[in-house]
Amino acid sequence: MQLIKIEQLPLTFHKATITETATIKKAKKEHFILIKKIGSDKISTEKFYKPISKIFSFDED
Amino acid sequence: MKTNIPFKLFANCILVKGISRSTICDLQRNDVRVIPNDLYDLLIENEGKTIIGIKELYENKFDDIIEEYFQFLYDNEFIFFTKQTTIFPKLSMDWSDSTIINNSIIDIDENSNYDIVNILKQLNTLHCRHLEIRNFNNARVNILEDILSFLNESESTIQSVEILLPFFKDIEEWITSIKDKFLRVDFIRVFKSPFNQNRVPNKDCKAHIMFTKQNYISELCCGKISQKFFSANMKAFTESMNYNSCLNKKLSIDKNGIIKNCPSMQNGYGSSDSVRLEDVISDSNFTKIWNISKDKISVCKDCEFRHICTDCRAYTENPEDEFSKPLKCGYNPKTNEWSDWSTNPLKEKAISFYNLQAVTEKP
Repeated sequence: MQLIKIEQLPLTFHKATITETATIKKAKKEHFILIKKIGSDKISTEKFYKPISKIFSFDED
Repeated sequence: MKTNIPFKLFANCILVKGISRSTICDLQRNDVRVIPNDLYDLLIENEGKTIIGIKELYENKFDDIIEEYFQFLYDNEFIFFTKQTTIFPKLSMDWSDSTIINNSIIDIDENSNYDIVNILKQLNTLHCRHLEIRNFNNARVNILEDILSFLNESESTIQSVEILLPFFKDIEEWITSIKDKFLRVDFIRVFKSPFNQNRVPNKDCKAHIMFTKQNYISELCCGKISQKFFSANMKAFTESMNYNSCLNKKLSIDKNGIIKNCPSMQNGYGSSDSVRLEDVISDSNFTKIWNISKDKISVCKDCEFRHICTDCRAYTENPEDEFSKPLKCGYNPKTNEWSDWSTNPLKEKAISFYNLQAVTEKP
């Protein structure tokens, strides 16, 4: 297959390439935001695996 | 039960031997069962053998007991049967955590006037994940709200916040006002309440809320050892095997703004307004206590509950011995009995040393 320079590409293909790149960039950004959002939600609900201090637990009284 | 196929303990079911009896800790189900030491020895020595084979080893003199033991283990899903015993390795008992500090206690009372936001900023750089704010005496809800707002606005690394505070007239409205606004709050403990109540998290409120009639006057009330504080999960268990189950990766600020391992401890490392937390953590005197695991502590090292239990280095039976048993533990691993630690005559001297007389009085 013969390689051609990018400016020699048919105009439509060239445009398509640009659009595709932009779409990928946008998609990556959205993906990143989505991951961060999921992460944030998870962070806000994670509990500690042991008591931090030992002053009272309900049924001790 | 397949008596002619070798048995294996599930990897998440860990045996712990005590002086008089042992435990099986199912770290996946947060379940702990007490077993006789004979069964512990039998499991340690014979894992990977068939039940028929084990009975023969004991010359078939104890078939009924061995049958009963294994039926108990099988019924509770502590064991399974397989001919491929070598493809089920033991779980690693190592413990690691990417944070520099993973939990912190900040105490405030009516006279506290140190810069808490400055501390929160520093805890963020230390990757602290869990915070408990303990408010003794009068409830200072403005400070609590400032802390929670700062955590929200700064996108802090702190993932969960527990609050201890005294009852006040409009506390129900206050809880309602913060529960949806500050999602990091996952536990609110209210003392000196006119009623006892336990509200578990539900769809309307993700925070666990407890009300108790008891009064907790200060940090002197901390350090209790009780079955209520047991944690049978992988992180807590492996941490206990390697490090101190209370103080490892903990940094606290007492009600006067002094940096400590725990607010109840005598040793302070300077005022949080003038000393950087990072500098305190690089001080080996501060971190050496992190390495006092339960296997090094007198009496605890003989206890079958040692790796699911918490510890307390602030109040110990012998204040001069850093490896002494926690003062507020009433369990005797030799007799397997729990008693009231505060009425034990052998603890009177230490109670007096720490000025704990007021907190041991019954209401």
